Amino acid sequence: MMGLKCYFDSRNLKARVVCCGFAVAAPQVLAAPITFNTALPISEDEIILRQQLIFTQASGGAGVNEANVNSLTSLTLGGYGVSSKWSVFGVLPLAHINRELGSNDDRQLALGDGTLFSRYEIFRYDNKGATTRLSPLIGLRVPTGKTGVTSDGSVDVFGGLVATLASTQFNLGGQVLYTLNGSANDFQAGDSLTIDGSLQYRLWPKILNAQTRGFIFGVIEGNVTWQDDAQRNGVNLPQDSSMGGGTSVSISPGLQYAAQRWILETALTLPIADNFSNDALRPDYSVRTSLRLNF
Amino acid sequence: MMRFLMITGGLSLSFSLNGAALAGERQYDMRVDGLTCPFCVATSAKALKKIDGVRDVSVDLDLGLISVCAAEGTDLSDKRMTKLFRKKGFTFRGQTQIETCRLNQDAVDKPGEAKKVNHKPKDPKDQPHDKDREHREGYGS
Repeated sequence: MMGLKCYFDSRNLKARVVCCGFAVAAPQVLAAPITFNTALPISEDEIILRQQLIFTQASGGAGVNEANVNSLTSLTLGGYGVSSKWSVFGVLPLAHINRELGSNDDRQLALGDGTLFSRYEIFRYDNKGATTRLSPLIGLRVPTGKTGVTSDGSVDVFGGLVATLASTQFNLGGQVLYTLNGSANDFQAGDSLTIDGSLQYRLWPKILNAQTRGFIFGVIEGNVTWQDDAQRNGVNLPQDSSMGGGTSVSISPGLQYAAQRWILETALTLPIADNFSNDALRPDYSVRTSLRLNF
Repeated sequence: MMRFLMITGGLSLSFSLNGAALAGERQYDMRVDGLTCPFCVATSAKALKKIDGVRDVSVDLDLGLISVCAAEGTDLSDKRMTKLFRKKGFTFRGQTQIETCRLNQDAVDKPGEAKKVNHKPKDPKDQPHDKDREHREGYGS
Protein backbone atom coordinates (compact mmCIF):
# COMPACT_ATOMS: atom_id res chain seq x y z
CA MET A 1 0.00 0.00 0.00
CA MET A 2 2.75 2.42 0.89
CA GLY A 3 4.71 1.87 -2.29
CA LEU A 4 8.40 2.36 -1.69
CA LYS A 5 9.06 3.91 -5.03
CA CYS A 6 12.26 5.79 -4.32
CA TYR A 7 15.11 6.75 -6.54
CA PHE A 8 17.79 8.36 -4.42
CA ASP A 9 20.83 6.62 -3.14
CA SER A 10 20.37 5.32 0.35
CA ARG A 11 23.65 6.90 1.46
CA ASN A 12 22.05 10.32 1.09
CA LEU A 13 20.05 10.85 4.22
CA LYS A 14 17.98 13.76 2.98
CA ALA A 15 17.25 12.10 -0.32
CA ARG A 16 16.10 9.00 1.52
CA VAL A 17 13.55 11.01 3.42
CA VAL A 18 12.47 12.85 0.29
CA CYS A 19 11.78 9.72 -1.63
CA CYS A 20 10.15 7.98 1.26
CA GLY A 21 8.07 11.10 1.69
CA PHE A 22 6.72 10.43 -1.76
CA ALA A 23 6.03 6.88 -0.86
CA VAL A 24 3.97 8.06 2.03
CA ALA A 25 2.34 10.88 0.14
CA ALA A 26 1.26 8.86 -2.84
CA PRO A 27 0.30 5.40 -1.68
CA GLN A 28 -0.60 2.89 -4.36
CA VAL A 29 -3.70 4.32 -5.89
CA LEU A 30 -4.97 0.90 -6.75
CA ALA A 31 -4.95 -0.36 -3.21
CA ALA A 32 -7.12 2.20 -1.50
CA PRO A 33 -8.10 1.09 1.98
CA ILE A 34 -11.72 2.05 1.45
CA THR A 35 -13.17 0.22 -1.56
CA PHE A 36 -10.38 -0.31 -4.04
CA ASN A 37 -10.36 1.96 -6.99
CA THR A 38 -10.05 -1.08 -9.20
CA ALA A 39 -13.37 -2.48 -7.99
CA LEU A 40 -15.42 0.68 -8.38
CA PRO A 41 -18.76 -0.22 -9.93
CA ILE A 42 -19.65 1.61 -13.11
CA SER A 43 -22.32 1.03 -15.72
CA GLU A 44 -22.17 1.56 -19.45
CA ASP A 45 -21.99 5.20 -20.50
CA GLU A 46 -21.81 6.42 -16.92
CA ILE A 47 -19.16 8.49 -15.19
CA ILE A 48 -17.72 8.09 -11.74
CA LEU A 49 -15.77 10.68 -9.80
CA ARG A 50 -13.96 9.99 -6.57
CA GLN A 51 -12.15 12.55 -4.48
CA GLN A 52 -9.97 11.38 -1.61
CA LEU A 53 -8.08 13.34 1.00
CA ILE A 54 -5.34 11.38 2.70
CA PHE A 55 -3.32 12.45 5.68
CA THR A 56 -0.30 10.34 6.48
CA GLN A 57 2.13 10.58 9.34
CA ALA A 58 5.43 8.75 9.04
CA SER A 59 8.61 8.66 11.05
CA GLY A 60 12.04 7.23 10.55
CA GLY A 61 13.98 4.61 12.41
CA ALA A 62 17.36 5.13 14.03
CA GLY A 63 19.04 5.36 10.64
CA VAL A 64 16.99 8.37 9.63
CA ASN A 65 17.75 10.33 12.77
CA GLU A 66 14.12 10.39 13.78
CA ALA A 67 12.86 12.19 10.71
CA ASN A 68 9.21 13.10 10.61
CA VAL A 69 7.19 13.30 7.44
CA ASN A 70 3.56 14.12 7.10
CA SER A 71 1.60 14.67 3.98
CA LEU A 72 -1.84 15.64 2.79
CA THR A 73 -2.69 14.17 -0.57
CA SER A 74 -5.64 14.94 -2.75
CA LEU A 75 -6.41 12.00 -4.99
CA THR A 76 -8.83 12.63 -7.83
CA LEU A 77 -10.23 9.74 -9.82
CA GLY A 78 -12.42 9.78 -12.89
CA GLY A 79 -13.87 6.72 -14.57
CA TYR A 80 -16.05 5.96 -17.58
CA GLY A 81 -18.04 2.85 -18.47
CA VAL A 82 -17.23 2.21 -22.13
CA SER A 83 -19.51 -0.82 -22.06
CA SER A 84 -21.12 -2.94 -19.38
CA LYS A 85 -17.87 -4.93 -19.15
CA TRP A 86 -15.18 -2.47 -20.09
CA SER A 87 -14.29 0.62 -18.07
CA VAL A 88 -11.39 3.07 -18.03
CA PHE A 89 -10.05 5.14 -15.15
CA GLY A 90 -7.60 7.94 -14.52
CA VAL A 91 -6.14 9.08 -11.20
CA LEU A 92 -4.15 12.22 -10.40
CA PRO A 93 -2.64 12.98 -6.98
CA LEU A 94 -1.68 16.36 -5.61
CA ALA A 95 0.47 16.22 -2.51
CA HIS A 96 1.59 18.62 0.15
CA ILE A 97 4.58 17.12 1.92
CA ASN A 98 6.10 18.39 5.11
CA ARG A 99 9.48 16.93 6.06
CA GLU A 100 11.24 17.59 9.31
CA LEU A 101 14.84 16.53 9.49
CA GLY A 102 16.39 17.73 12.69
CA SER A 103 16.18 21.51 12.56
CA ASN A 104 15.40 21.54 8.82
CA ASP A 105 11.83 21.88 7.72
CA ASP A 106 11.02 21.33 4.07
CA ARG A 107 7.57 21.81 2.56
CA GLN A 108 6.57 20.97 -0.98
CA LEU A 109 3.34 21.06 -2.95
CA ALA A 110 3.39 19.10 -6.18
CA LEU A 111 1.46 16.88 -8.53
CA GLY A 112 2.13 13.20 -8.20
CA ASP A 113 2.38 10.61 -10.94
CA GLY A 114 -0.84 10.07 -12.83
CA THR A 115 -2.30 6.62 -13.28
CA LEU A 116 -4.40 5.25 -16.12
CA PHE A 117 -5.94 1.82 -16.05
CA SER A 118 -8.53 -0.25 -17.82
CA ARG A 119 -10.66 -3.09 -16.49
CA TYR A 120 -12.54 -5.76 -18.40
CA GLU A 121 -15.06 -8.09 -16.80
CA ILE A 122 -14.54 -11.70 -17.84
CA PHE A 123 -16.90 -13.43 -15.44
CA ARG A 124 -20.18 -12.46 -13.86
CA TYR A 125 -22.78 -14.49 -12.05
CA ASP A 126 -25.87 -12.71 -10.76
CA ASN A 127 -28.53 -14.10 -8.48
CA LYS A 128 -31.19 -12.58 -6.26
CA GLY A 129 -29.59 -9.72 -4.35
CA ALA A 130 -26.07 -10.91 -5.05
CA THR A 131 -23.38 -10.86 -7.69
CA THR A 132 -19.93 -12.33 -8.29
CA ARG A 133 -17.54 -10.64 -10.70
CA LEU A 134 -14.01 -11.16 -11.87
CA SER A 135 -12.05 -8.69 -13.95
CA PRO A 136 -8.45 -8.44 -15.07
CA LEU A 137 -6.97 -4.98 -15.35
CA ILE A 138 -3.93 -3.34 -16.81
CA GLY A 139 -2.55 0.14 -16.42
CA LEU A 140 0.40 2.43 -16.32
CA ARG A 141 1.74 5.19 -14.14
CA VAL A 142 3.11 8.18 -15.98
CA PRO A 143 5.63 10.67 -14.55
CA THR A 144 3.43 13.74 -14.21
CA GLY A 145 4.89 14.39 -10.78
CA LYS A 146 7.72 16.70 -9.81
CA THR A 147 10.92 14.78 -10.24
CA GLY A 148 12.72 14.52 -6.95
CA VAL A 149 9.64 15.32 -4.92
CA THR A 150 6.70 13.21 -5.98
CA SER A 151 8.08 11.28 -8.92
CA ASP A 152 11.14 9.35 -10.02
CA GLY A 153 10.47 10.10 -13.68
CA SER A 154 9.84 6.52 -14.74
CA VAL A 155 6.89 4.95 -16.52
CA ASP A 156 5.57 1.95 -14.60
CA VAL A 157 3.26 -0.79 -15.77
CA PHE A 158 0.93 -2.87 -13.64
CA GLY A 159 -1.60 -5.60 -14.12
CA GLY A 160 -3.73 -7.84 -12.00
CA LEU A 161 -7.05 -9.30 -11.15
CA VAL A 162 -9.92 -7.88 -9.12
CA ALA A 163 -12.77 -9.94 -7.72
CA THR A 164 -16.03 -8.91 -6.07
CA LEU A 165 -18.62 -10.93 -4.21
CA ALA A 166 -21.44 -8.58 -3.31
CA SER A 167 -24.79 -9.02 -1.64
CA THR A 168 -27.29 -6.73 0.03
CA GLN A 169 -25.82 -7.63 3.42
CA PHE A 170 -22.07 -7.58 2.73
CA ASN A 171 -19.47 -7.07 0.04
CA LEU A 172 -16.21 -8.93 -0.30
CA GLY A 173 -13.57 -7.52 -2.59
CA GLY A 174 -10.04 -8.51 -3.38
CA GLN A 175 -7.29 -7.70 -5.79
CA VAL A 176 -3.87 -8.94 -6.75
CA LEU A 177 -1.60 -6.52 -8.58
CA TYR A 178 1.92 -6.78 -9.91
CA THR A 179 3.82 -3.60 -10.77
CA LEU A 180 6.82 -3.48 -13.06
CA ASN A 181 8.65 -0.33 -12.11
CA GLY A 182 10.52 1.42 -14.89
CA SER A 183 13.93 3.01 -14.78
CA ALA A 184 14.83 6.71 -14.85
CA ASN A 185 17.83 8.75 -13.78
CA ASP A 186 19.84 5.52 -13.31
CA PHE A 187 17.40 4.41 -10.63
CA GLN A 188 14.77 1.69 -10.69
CA ALA A 189 12.40 1.01 -7.83
CA GLY A 190 11.84 -2.64 -7.09
CA ASP A 191 8.87 -4.41 -8.63
CA SER A 192 6.00 -4.99 -6.26
CA LEU A 193 3.20 -7.42 -5.59
CA THR A 194 0.15 -6.13 -3.78
CA ILE A 195 -2.69 -8.16 -2.30
CA ASP A 196 -5.75 -6.41 -0.89
CA GLY A 197 -8.87 -7.70 0.76
CA SER A 198 -11.97 -5.80 1.81
CA LEU A 199 -15.08 -6.67 3.77
CA GLN A 200 -17.99 -4.24 3.97
CA TYR A 201 -20.82 -5.29 6.25
CA ARG A 202 -24.14 -3.48 6.26
CA LEU A 203 -24.85 -2.05 9.70
CA TRP A 204 -27.89 0.01 8.78
CA PRO A 205 -30.70 -0.38 7.88
CA LYS A 206 -31.35 -3.79 9.36
CA ILE A 207 -34.29 -4.43 7.05
CA LEU A 208 -34.51 -3.40 3.41
CA ASN A 209 -37.59 -2.26 1.59
CA ALA A 210 -38.59 -0.14 -1.39
CA GLN A 211 -38.04 3.02 0.65
CA THR A 212 -34.40 2.20 1.44
CA ARG A 213 -32.22 5.01 0.10
CA GLY A 214 -28.84 4.34 1.65
CA PHE A 215 -26.62 1.90 3.55
CA ILE A 216 -24.11 2.35 6.32
CA PHE A 217 -21.31 -0.17 6.08
CA GLY A 218 -18.69 -1.10 8.62
CA VAL A 219 -15.49 -1.76 6.69
CA ILE A 220 -12.35 -3.72 7.39
CA GLU A 221 -9.59 -4.02 4.84
CA GLY A 222 -6.20 -5.63 4.82
CA ASN A 223 -3.15 -5.18 2.64
CA VAL A 224 0.04 -7.12 2.04
CA THR A 225 2.72 -5.62 -0.17
CA TRP A 226 5.98 -7.21 -1.20
CA GLN A 227 8.60 -5.11 -2.92
CA ASP A 228 11.86 -6.13 -4.52
CA ASP A 229 15.12 -4.29 -3.85
CA ALA A 230 15.65 -1.09 -5.79
CA GLN A 231 18.47 -0.84 -8.31
CA ARG A 232 20.94 1.89 -9.04
CA ASN A 233 22.88 1.68 -12.30
CA GLY A 234 21.59 -1.85 -12.67
CA VAL A 235 22.92 -3.00 -9.31
CA ASN A 236 20.63 -4.08 -6.49
CA LEU A 237 20.78 -1.81 -3.47
CA PRO A 238 21.43 -3.69 -0.24
CA GLN A 239 18.39 -5.22 1.39
CA ASP A 240 19.33 -3.61 4.68
CA SER A 241 19.34 -0.12 3.18
CA SER A 242 16.32 2.14 3.16
CA MET A 243 15.87 1.24 -0.52
CA GLY A 244 15.93 -2.44 0.21
CA GLY A 245 12.91 -4.58 -0.46
CA GLY A 246 10.61 -6.23 1.99
CA THR A 247 7.07 -7.02 2.92
CA SER A 248 4.59 -4.92 4.83
CA VAL A 249 1.16 -5.65 6.26
CA SER A 250 -1.49 -3.12 7.22
CA ILE A 251 -5.10 -3.05 8.30
CA SER A 252 -7.77 -0.40 7.69
CA PRO A 253 -10.99 -0.22 9.64
CA GLY A 254 -13.50 2.26 8.26
CA LEU A 255 -17.02 3.42 7.82
CA GLN A 256 -18.98 4.08 4.66
CA TYR A 257 -22.32 5.63 3.82
CA ALA A 258 -23.61 4.57 0.42
CA ALA A 259 -26.46 6.59 -1.06
CA GLN A 260 -27.93 6.16 -4.50
CA ARG A 261 -25.62 8.57 -6.29
CA TRP A 262 -22.84 9.26 -3.82
CA ILE A 263 -20.72 7.53 -1.21
CA LEU A 264 -18.96 9.11 1.74
CA GLU A 265 -16.31 7.05 3.45
CA THR A 266 -13.45 7.24 5.89
CA ALA A 267 -10.78 4.82 7.06
CA LEU A 268 -7.79 4.65 9.33
CA THR A 269 -4.82 2.66 8.08
CA LEU A 270 -2.50 1.15 10.66
CA PRO A 271 0.69 -0.73 9.90
CA ILE A 272 0.80 -4.20 11.42
CA ALA A 273 4.25 -5.49 10.52
CA ASP A 274 7.08 -5.19 8.05
CA ASN A 275 10.59 -6.45 7.53
CA PHE A 276 12.13 -3.39 5.95
CA SER A 277 15.46 -2.05 7.03
CA ASN A 278 15.74 -0.05 10.24
CA ASP A 279 16.78 2.87 8.04
CA ALA A 280 13.45 2.94 6.28
CA LEU A 281 10.87 5.57 6.93
CA ARG A 282 7.66 3.95 8.15
CA PRO A 283 4.09 5.14 8.14
CA ASP A 284 2.66 5.53 11.65
CA TYR A 285 -0.91 5.91 10.47
CA SER A 286 -2.94 7.22 7.63
CA VAL A 287 -6.44 8.71 7.60
CA ARG A 288 -8.47 9.07 4.48
CA THR A 289 -11.82 10.55 3.65
CA SER A 290 -13.45 10.09 0.33
CA LEU A 291 -16.48 11.26 -1.61
CA ARG A 292 -17.64 9.33 -4.65
CA LEU A 293 -20.21 10.48 -7.18
CA ASN A 294 -21.90 8.55 -9.97
CA PHE A 295 -23.43 10.32 -12.96
CA MET B 1 -87.62 7.92 -7.21
CA MET B 2 -85.92 10.91 -8.77
CA ARG B 3 -83.47 11.01 -5.89
CA PHE B 4 -82.68 7.27 -6.39
CA LEU B 5 -81.98 7.81 -10.08
CA MET B 6 -79.65 10.72 -9.36
CA ILE B 7 -77.68 8.69 -6.80
CA THR B 8 -77.35 5.59 -9.00
CA GLY B 9 -76.48 7.77 -11.98
CA GLY B 10 -73.82 9.56 -9.98
CA LEU B 11 -72.33 6.30 -8.74
CA SER B 12 -72.23 4.86 -12.27
CA LEU B 13 -70.42 7.93 -13.52
CA SER B 14 -67.99 7.72 -10.63
CA PHE B 15 -67.18 4.03 -11.31
CA SER B 16 -66.75 4.65 -15.02
CA LEU B 17 -64.33 7.49 -14.28
CA ASN B 18 -62.35 5.21 -11.98
CA GLY B 19 -62.23 2.54 -14.66
CA ALA B 20 -60.95 5.01 -17.24
CA ALA B 21 -58.18 6.23 -14.93
CA LEU B 22 -56.89 2.74 -14.17
CA ALA B 23 -57.17 1.33 -17.68
CA GLY B 24 -54.37 3.58 -18.95
CA GLU B 25 -51.71 2.14 -16.66
CA ARG B 26 -50.09 -1.18 -15.92
CA GLN B 27 -47.63 -2.41 -13.36
CA TYR B 28 -44.69 -4.54 -14.45
CA ASP B 29 -42.93 -6.52 -11.72
CA MET B 30 -39.49 -7.45 -12.99
CA ARG B 31 -37.12 -9.91 -11.40
CA VAL B 32 -33.60 -8.61 -11.81
CA ASP B 33 -30.57 -10.39 -10.38
CA GLY B 34 -27.38 -8.72 -9.24
CA LEU B 35 -29.00 -5.75 -7.49
CA THR B 36 -27.07 -5.28 -4.26
CA CYS B 37 -26.76 -1.60 -3.47
CA PRO B 38 -28.46 1.79 -3.52
CA PHE B 39 -26.43 2.65 -6.60
CA CYS B 40 -27.96 -0.35 -8.40
CA VAL B 41 -31.37 1.09 -7.57
CA ALA B 42 -30.51 4.53 -8.89
CA THR B 43 -28.92 3.41 -12.14
CA SER B 44 -31.78 0.99 -12.92
CA ALA B 45 -34.46 3.55 -12.15
CA LYS B 46 -32.70 6.18 -14.24
CA ALA B 47 -32.54 3.87 -17.25
CA LEU B 48 -36.17 2.79 -16.94
CA LYS B 49 -37.47 6.33 -16.52
CA LYS B 50 -35.90 7.28 -19.84
CA ILE B 51 -38.41 5.02 -21.58
CA ASP B 52 -41.44 6.89 -22.90
CA GLY B 53 -44.52 5.91 -20.91
CA VAL B 54 -42.74 4.90 -17.71
CA ARG B 55 -44.17 6.91 -14.83
CA ASP B 56 -42.66 5.44 -11.70
CA VAL B 57 -40.14 2.87 -10.59
CA SER B 58 -39.73 1.16 -7.24
CA VAL B 59 -36.97 -1.28 -6.30
CA ASP B 60 -36.96 -3.88 -3.54
CA LEU B 61 -33.36 -4.98 -3.11
CA ASP B 62 -34.16 -7.88 -0.80
CA LEU B 63 -36.55 -9.42 -3.30
CA GLY B 64 -34.54 -8.42 -6.36
CA LEU B 65 -37.76 -6.92 -7.67
CA ILE B 66 -38.22 -3.81 -9.77
CA SER B 67 -41.78 -2.56 -10.10
CA VAL B 68 -42.58 -0.22 -12.95
CA CYS B 69 -45.74 1.78 -13.54
CA ALA B 70 -46.14 2.53 -17.21
CA ALA B 71 -48.78 3.62 -19.67
CA GLU B 72 -50.48 0.82 -21.55
CA GLY B 73 -48.60 0.06 -24.74
CA THR B 74 -45.19 1.04 -23.36
CA ASP B 75 -42.48 -1.15 -24.83
CA LEU B 76 -41.14 -3.08 -21.85
CA SER B 77 -40.61 -6.31 -23.72
CA ASP B 78 -38.38 -9.02 -22.29
CA LYS B 79 -35.93 -8.46 -25.12
CA ARG B 80 -35.64 -4.76 -24.42
CA MET B 81 -35.36 -5.26 -20.66
CA THR B 82 -32.69 -7.94 -21.07
CA LYS B 83 -30.61 -5.52 -23.12
CA LEU B 84 -31.24 -2.58 -20.81
CA PHE B 85 -30.23 -4.41 -17.65
CA ARG B 86 -27.24 -6.05 -19.32
CA LYS B 87 -25.94 -2.58 -20.15
CA LYS B 88 -26.37 -1.59 -16.52
CA GLY B 89 -24.51 -4.66 -15.32
CA PHE B 90 -27.44 -6.74 -14.06
CA THR B 91 -29.38 -9.79 -15.24
CA PHE B 92 -33.04 -9.58 -16.21
CA ARG B 93 -34.86 -12.84 -15.38
CA GLY B 94 -38.46 -12.13 -16.31
CA GLN B 95 -41.55 -10.12 -15.49
CA THR B 96 -45.23 -10.29 -14.66
CA GLN B 97 -47.89 -7.72 -15.42
CA ILE B 98 -50.67 -6.41 -13.24
CA GLU B 99 -53.55 -4.65 -14.90
CA THR B 100 -53.66 -1.82 -12.41
CA CYS B 101 -50.75 0.08 -11.02
CA ARG B 102 -50.61 -0.04 -7.24
CA LEU B 103 -47.25 1.62 -7.00
CA ASN B 104 -47.19 4.95 -5.15
CA GLN B 105 -50.50 5.93 -6.68
CA ASP B 106 -50.37 9.46 -5.33
CA ALA B 107 -46.87 10.05 -6.65
CA VAL B 108 -47.55 8.53 -10.05
CA ASP B 109 -50.57 10.57 -10.99
CA LYS B 110 -51.13 14.22 -10.56
CA PRO B 111 -52.36 14.77 -7.02
CA GLY B 112 -55.84 15.77 -8.11
CA GLU B 113 -56.25 12.77 -10.40
CA ALA B 114 -55.02 10.34 -7.78
CA LYS B 115 -57.69 11.54 -5.41
CA LYS B 116 -60.32 11.12 -8.09
CA VAL B 117 -59.43 7.48 -8.57
CA ASN B 118 -59.94 6.64 -4.95
CA HIS B 119 -62.70 9.11 -4.40
CA LYS B 120 -65.56 7.90 -2.30
CA PRO B 121 -68.65 10.11 -2.47
CA LYS B 122 -69.25 11.74 0.88
CA ASP B 123 -72.16 13.55 2.32
CA PRO B 124 -71.40 17.29 2.14
CA LYS B 125 -72.55 17.52 5.73
CA ASP B 126 -69.60 15.35 6.79
CA GLN B 127 -67.00 17.56 5.07
CA PRO B 128 -65.13 19.82 7.45
CA HIS B 129 -65.42 23.49 6.68
CA ASP B 130 -62.08 24.45 5.20
CA LYS B 131 -61.51 27.92 6.58
CA ASP B 132 -57.85 27.80 5.69
CA ARG B 133 -58.65 27.12 2.07
CA GLU B 134 -61.08 29.98 2.00
CA HIS B 135 -58.44 32.22 3.48
CA ARG B 136 -55.77 31.07 1.00
CA GLU B 137 -58.00 31.59 -1.97
CA GLY B 138 -59.27 34.90 -0.74
CA TYR B 139 -62.97 34.25 -0.94
CA GLY B 140 -63.44 33.96 2.80
CA SER B 141 -62.45 37.48 3.58
